[in-house]
Amino acid sequence: MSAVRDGTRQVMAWLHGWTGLLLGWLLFVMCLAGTLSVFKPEISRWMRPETTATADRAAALTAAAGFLSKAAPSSFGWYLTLPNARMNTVEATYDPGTGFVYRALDPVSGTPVPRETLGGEFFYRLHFELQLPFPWGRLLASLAAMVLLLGLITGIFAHRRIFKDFFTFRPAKGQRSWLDGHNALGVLALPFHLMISFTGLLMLATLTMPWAIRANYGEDMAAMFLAFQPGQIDRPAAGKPAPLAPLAPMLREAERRLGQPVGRVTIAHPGDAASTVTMFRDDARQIAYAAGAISFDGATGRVLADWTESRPALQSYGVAYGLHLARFAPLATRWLYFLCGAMLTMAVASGMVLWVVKRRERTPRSLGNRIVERLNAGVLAGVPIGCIAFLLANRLLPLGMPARAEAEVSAALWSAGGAVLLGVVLAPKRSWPLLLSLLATGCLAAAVPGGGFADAAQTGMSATLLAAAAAIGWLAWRQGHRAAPRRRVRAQTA
Amino acid sequence: MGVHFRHGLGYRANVAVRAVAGSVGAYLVAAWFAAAAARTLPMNRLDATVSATMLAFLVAPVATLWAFLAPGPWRALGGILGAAALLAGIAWAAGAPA
Repeated sequence: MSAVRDGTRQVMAWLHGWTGLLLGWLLFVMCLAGTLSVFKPEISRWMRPETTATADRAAALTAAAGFLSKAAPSSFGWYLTLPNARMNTVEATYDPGTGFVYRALDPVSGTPVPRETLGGEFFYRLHFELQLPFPWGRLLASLAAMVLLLGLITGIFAHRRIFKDFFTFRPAKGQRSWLDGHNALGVLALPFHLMISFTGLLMLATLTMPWAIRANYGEDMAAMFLAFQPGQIDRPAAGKPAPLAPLAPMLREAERRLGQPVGRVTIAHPGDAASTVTMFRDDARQIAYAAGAISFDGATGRVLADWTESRPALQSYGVAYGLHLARFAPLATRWLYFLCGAMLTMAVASGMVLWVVKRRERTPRSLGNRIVERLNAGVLAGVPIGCIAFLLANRLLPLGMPARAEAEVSAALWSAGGAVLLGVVLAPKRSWPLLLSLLATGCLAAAVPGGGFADAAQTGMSATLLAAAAAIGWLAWRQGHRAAPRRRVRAQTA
Repeated sequence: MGVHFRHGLGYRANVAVRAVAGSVGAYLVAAWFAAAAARTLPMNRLDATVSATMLAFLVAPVATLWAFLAPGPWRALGGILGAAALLAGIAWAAGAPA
């Protein structure tokens, strides 16, 4: 890297700092939620401990369709994810007449499970929709992903001795330690960080970069969709009712033709004579997302289209998409994704702290930097507090309360908001230990009294929460411990 | 922070012009690159569309970096807008596929 001109390096470092500051807190939320989403099905199981029944795909699909034909007969479509090795419920998105809802359906009865919750879906949606209405959340998330990609590139060039610093860590030396830590977190998993930010951008490309599509397909979106996914037939409703043919034979036929299990099923215009049933290959069997699809005529069960993707550009896109989603990943790979994601989250957090640490010696510190310092405490500790509040609300809110899933989300947002407020109001050396203690206590509470230990996935989650409680508790203890003597010193000199 | 920058009005204008070139301008370059490449890559319509879209996300950060590395703010803005105009011209000249 010494070949880079000093001027270039300074520009890169400047750009790294300012673009990071601009969207750093948002990136922190996205990285944290994305990291948790690696274990979305496992989190969902942890949050629905009563639902332990299992059923095979055909039985679960039939049960779900039986419920939906009564609960949402006029929904534009039913979008289902079938049970698999990681998840025992059917995940369904449908419109019961009041707008689309997301529910986990019992695989045997087909009805929504008693503990109504978004489960891991909350973190998944938060990751790229940021609790904002369409399309603003996705646009903002894409902008943040581009800033992250820029931050990685500028971070590489700003680095004087990237390979040497790779192995450098000087603990307990203030700014130097923060910088070493930030560098190590960024550099050690750099290929992952580059991959995840670039593939994340690609996933929302039809929204953020539609200009190649517009150049080649104009306004003819139907032709474009058919070209992209020939296995998925989109056609308007006929307006004449006709019952849906049995789904189990369609599922068997789809799996015979695909030679793979089906992962997702979309039923468009259910109950209409022109209804269609599209079945997608399970994403766990190959890296590529939606690698094959088969469409059936809903009323007759006749095959309308059958497609396995083999075109090079779309295969590449499918692999990029699948690499980001990590549904292909076996358990060990999922843990690697989780660890790399956690490193990226901490790289973002340490970068935000570093912004203030670097400027701490400057006197008088500017108002802007004091705001950044307080918001750092509020956001970097507060957002994880919100996540834990979501898990705790899942255990504390009574079953059967109206809008229970929404109440869990509210608990998460109000807790995070309250923590940010505390961070702004209190001095950082008080707010950091306080918020970190709250966070550690929350992790402990979620793991021990609220813990699920029924199966390997739930035990893994509770154990992770315990580990987090220990690590954060240690951080909080150190913060409080170090803050105390400093206060005494100042009292003596005053 | 570049120590060679001075933090006066000129410095702020410099940063503002480059920020516009590196954000809106870089997006324009990437968008017109996507359109031009979709129409000119020697592949079938669909492969060209998908490849152009994916490559555009590599063009965008390069354009942003260039906007901040170019010798002067107005050269940066001019270069970015010039590149966008050139790519738009290529997309227009290539025409929509039949």
